[in-house]
Amino acid sequence: MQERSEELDLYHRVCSGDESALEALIAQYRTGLTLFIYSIVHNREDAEDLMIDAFAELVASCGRFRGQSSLKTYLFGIARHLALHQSRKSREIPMETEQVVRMQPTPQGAISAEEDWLKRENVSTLYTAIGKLHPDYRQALVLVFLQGMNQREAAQIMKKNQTQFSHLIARGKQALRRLLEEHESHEK
Amino acid sequence: MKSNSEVAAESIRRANVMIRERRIRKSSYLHAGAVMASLVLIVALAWAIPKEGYLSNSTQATSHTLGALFVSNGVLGYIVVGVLAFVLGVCVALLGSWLRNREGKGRL
Repeated sequence: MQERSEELDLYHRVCSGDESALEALIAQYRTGLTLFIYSIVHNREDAEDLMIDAFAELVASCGRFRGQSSLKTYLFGIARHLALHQSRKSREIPMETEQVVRMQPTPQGAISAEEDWLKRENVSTLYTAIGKLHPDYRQALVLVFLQGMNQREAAQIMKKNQTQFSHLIARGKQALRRLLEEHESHEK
Repeated sequence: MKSNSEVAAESIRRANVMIRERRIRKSSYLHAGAVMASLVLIVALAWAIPKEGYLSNSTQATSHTLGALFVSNGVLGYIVVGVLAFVLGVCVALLGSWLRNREGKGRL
């Protein structure tokens, strides 16, 4: 509850023209939002451009958000709408895993170069597999497992009820598991 | 890659453009709605005006014709209605031209 009221406070400060509040919001959600948009549009420049559009839309439609969901859910909902609109205009482009891996934030704390490389390799494999999934599975898995949203929030963003979303997640995980197993058998 | 403050500045700039475009679109819809309402009103009035005795030469019938709504002399009444219709047409044309100029300025 406290988190929700802090979010609302931040939103109202953004709407009243407080640039520092907007910067704080951008710092908090920028990377995750860009990655989510990228999972839909598959183009880094477009993803960054749409990320800015999503924040612009948040500012332009001030007053519309009333706190029924979290601010993150609202923002990701705007981003999804913009990204889907963009992806309908352009043809399907395969996800460039290398681009996604570069977008990942550098890990904080003591981590060796080898560990970092291994981590990025695993991320690369994961994103290659995610890129091959059906768009709905991909969005659902990215929201829940990579953006850390709960299923209720992710279902709201994808405009599905919770039962539909649970089935989507289950089928997405099965499809992802199959792809990862295929990848492992090819490696061997 | 842009810094957070650059992203914030660009977001605010784009938001201002979006707000201006929405305002222009809203006023265009309002003006179009007003024009449609006026046309509907005119058509409704014309439909409501009784048409009996339109071609009759009798004085009684004349009092039911269009012109008699304004003056007792039917001919002058027709002239008045014709002039009003012309003025209304000119106003609608000017309104359309003004809206178009305004939209053009908005795009720049």
